Amino acid sequence: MNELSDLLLDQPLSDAWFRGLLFFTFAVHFVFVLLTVGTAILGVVYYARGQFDENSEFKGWDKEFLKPFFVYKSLAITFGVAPILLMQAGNSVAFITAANLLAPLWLAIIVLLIAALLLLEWVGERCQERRWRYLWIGLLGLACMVAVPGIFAAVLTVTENPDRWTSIFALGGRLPLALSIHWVLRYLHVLGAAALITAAFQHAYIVRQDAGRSSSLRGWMVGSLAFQFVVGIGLYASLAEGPGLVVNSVVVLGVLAAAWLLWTVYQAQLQGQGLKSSGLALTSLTLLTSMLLARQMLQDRALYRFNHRLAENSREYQAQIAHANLTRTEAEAGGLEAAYDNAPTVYLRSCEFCHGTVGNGEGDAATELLVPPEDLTALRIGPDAFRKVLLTGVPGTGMPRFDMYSRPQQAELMEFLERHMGMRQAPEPVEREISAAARSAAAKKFATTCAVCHGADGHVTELASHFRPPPPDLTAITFSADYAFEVVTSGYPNTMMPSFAELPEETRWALVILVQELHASIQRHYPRPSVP
Amino acid sequence: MQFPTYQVPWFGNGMTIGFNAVVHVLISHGIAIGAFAMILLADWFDLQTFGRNASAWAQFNKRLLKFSVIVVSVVGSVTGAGIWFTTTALASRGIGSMLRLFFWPWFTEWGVFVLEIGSLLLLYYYWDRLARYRRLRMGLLAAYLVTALFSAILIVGIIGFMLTSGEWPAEPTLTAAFFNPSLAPQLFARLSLSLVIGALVAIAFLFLSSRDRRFLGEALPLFGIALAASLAVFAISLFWYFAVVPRGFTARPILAVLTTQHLAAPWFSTTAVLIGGGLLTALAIFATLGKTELSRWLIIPAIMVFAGAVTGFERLREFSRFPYLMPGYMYANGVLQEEEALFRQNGMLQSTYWFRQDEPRDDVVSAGAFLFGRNCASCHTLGGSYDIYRMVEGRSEDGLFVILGHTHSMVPFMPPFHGTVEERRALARFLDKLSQDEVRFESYARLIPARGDLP
Repeated sequence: MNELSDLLLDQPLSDAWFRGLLFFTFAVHFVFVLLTVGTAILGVVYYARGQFDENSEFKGWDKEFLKPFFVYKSLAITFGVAPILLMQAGNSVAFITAANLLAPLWLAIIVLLIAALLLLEWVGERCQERRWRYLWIGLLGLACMVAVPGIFAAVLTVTENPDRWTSIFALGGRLPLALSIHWVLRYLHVLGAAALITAAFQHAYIVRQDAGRSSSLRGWMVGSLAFQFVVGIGLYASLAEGPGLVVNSVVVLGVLAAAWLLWTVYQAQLQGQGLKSSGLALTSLTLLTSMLLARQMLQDRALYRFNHRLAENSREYQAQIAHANLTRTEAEAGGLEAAYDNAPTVYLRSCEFCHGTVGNGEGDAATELLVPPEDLTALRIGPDAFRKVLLTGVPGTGMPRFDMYSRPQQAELMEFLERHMGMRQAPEPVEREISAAARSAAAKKFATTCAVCHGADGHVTELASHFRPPPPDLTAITFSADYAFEVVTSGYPNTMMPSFAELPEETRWALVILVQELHASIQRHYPRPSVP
Repeated sequence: MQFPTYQVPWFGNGMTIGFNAVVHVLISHGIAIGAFAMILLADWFDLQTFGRNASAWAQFNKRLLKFSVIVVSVVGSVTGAGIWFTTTALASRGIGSMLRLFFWPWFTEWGVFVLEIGSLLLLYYYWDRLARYRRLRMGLLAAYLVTALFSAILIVGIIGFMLTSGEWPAEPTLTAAFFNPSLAPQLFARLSLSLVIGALVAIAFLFLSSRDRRFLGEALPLFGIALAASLAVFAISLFWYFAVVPRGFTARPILAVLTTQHLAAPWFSTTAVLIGGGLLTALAIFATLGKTELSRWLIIPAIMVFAGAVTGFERLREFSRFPYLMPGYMYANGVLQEEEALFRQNGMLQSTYWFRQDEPRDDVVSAGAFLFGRNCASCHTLGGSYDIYRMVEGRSEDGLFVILGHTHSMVPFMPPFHGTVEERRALARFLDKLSQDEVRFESYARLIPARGDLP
């Protein structure tokens, strides 16, 4: 399955319901977004004007202007949750992939939005004080605020262009040129709409009585409408495919409403008159509705074929999964059954596949390992050394680190190995009689050859500490007598420990005794024999 | 698997989602429910004491209300939406699937949320004007709290599912998923912890809003009792909650907490719990007895301790869920349990769009890096949290190959490796090179190795 497929759980809504709900919830959300962003823009501009011109007639107005900011932004965020839910449920792969491709920007929205809202609230509280610092704060807040719709516009642009995803990914999350142009125009169109809707709303419902303020807002409306026309033409031209008859009709309706609005407001401005709120409201509503409808229709069309293919692919993928599962073994099924807090379970799940069911190092995975797993039945190790091996593993081998066990758990595991696997803390003494000559030869051999790595006293030398795996600390770790003899004779596979088969058998046994005597437990219990 | 790999460098995806979520929890529980409940309590108490301290209470309420409304409507709501934002980018397949399953509870929750914020705004704007109509105002506040409660019930059902999925997916209905075993205990735990935080914040605001010792002496016991009662319910609910969590999970928190240094095991050591619990109990007692000076000393440490406890509880809850994101269905790395056999037979590299499309990369390091991204990067970062460098340090390549085949068995909170044996070798080779510090990345977030590292 190397084509994208849909998620393998059913869609919660039928297509028609999904589109309908998305349109309405997005429209409500978008109105408040426009009011939020527009209020921020106009409010900060009025504040700046008041700052530069002490006698400005708009002094004090910015506070009133920014007052409803609180409500707009709360409602914008609140109503925004529904369209996100719907987009993720209905256009899951498209929308989620777009957010993933633009992940750093997408995540930044959280920080930008909190910063913008707090900063602008701050300005709204203090703007009567007319200080330069609040202008800077306001500008910073505004910058954060207007970045957010830009990021959303980018995510929606990417959502609607699945065939460009691989190039976006290759570019490290940047848009290719053609998409960038479309995105910029789309973004500017949102900002223009924000200024327009806010100015219209304020004009119609807030500043009705005040001639000066009304005039200023009408100026904003004319300016932003003109801006929208210019940007709108560019945006229309940047559409990848011809929009089709239905979309064109809707757009024409919107353009007509905008044109009527522009003409009416311009006339009113020239004559210094007010505007009828009802007419203003109805035209704005028509304009907004038609543009949002066109937007959604274009989005749906862009994703229709893609979603259809995804659904087909997911059916095929589901079949492949089912087919593969026919041959799946029960052993592969994972489970929550075993509580991981007792030694037998720990051994079974963490140790057995290497160290074997009886601990002799012949687990199933042993053949994959260059340095074979230790034969625990022959291992002679004290609690401190055992804990250390668990905590650090053995570098250069397959023995991992098990640093998540508590001391009681480590002790329990060790006790389990002693009881069931024959691991011991101290080695058994060598039964054979060894001549003094053999012991002398062994001591000489140890001092000249073995001590280079194992150290004269059994502690690993600096040179050997770089080996992977390093030799064990012989004062802490050793083997049973028979196994130690085998290691001396044949070496230790795939490590630096060579074979000493050329030495006489008695000398090798003498070496075993010597090594045993290095072991701490031996030193405690057996006096060192005097060696000439 | 349908989505590109993305990993927040150093911090990791889990920590990023978690950090935003914890901020949201503290506000949505402690302020949106707790602080407002305390305002209601204060209003009620003012009536009970026949307005003896009317102006002091009015000042307290106004201050706490303003703080709460701003915090909830800015930080609370943005971090709440932030949970959607972070999971969409960082746990893409998981959140997409969760939403398909829980669409209606989440959509309903949104409706309730609209009512909640709407009533919050009304309360805020008409607070002073409604001062003459106290009972109406209290009724509005209570109505707001009821919507907040409904909101909480819906969300708790969803997150409870992620730990105790009950009959799902065997019985693949929404009801089976929603009414899961941990719904009730978790609800009690969350509501009581909301009241604990609310009481703590209220006590702090008492000190901020008034210096009148007489008033403080009368007002403090009110919140002291609220604190004591909600602490007791919280403690009981926690016991209940851990009783219903499957045994296999509870054995693991010990492993979970001790595994990483920066998790700071002291959060859950017995000593820390005793000291923290002792501090909060002491404050509750002092406040109930009206000891203003002692309470003043304790309030900031108490808030910090409890915030830390809630953070730890959430972390533990999340970790106990591993290796699953949706138990029995999807692992934490987004792979479905039912996909295992397919990946074992056909391999993972063949089955994913994003590997083949990003320039043909046949080398083992790129393959290994991609497999690492798919299998491991949801938790293991390069040099940050659950640092993979630390995990593979000292291991041999053959050792890594064997360990990778047994991760799920050795470490119960890890998912198994998904892929063919050859792919497992490629991943082992990649990890071995990582441990030798031989890999450079073109993109850390997308885990794409630099071209110069090809063998």
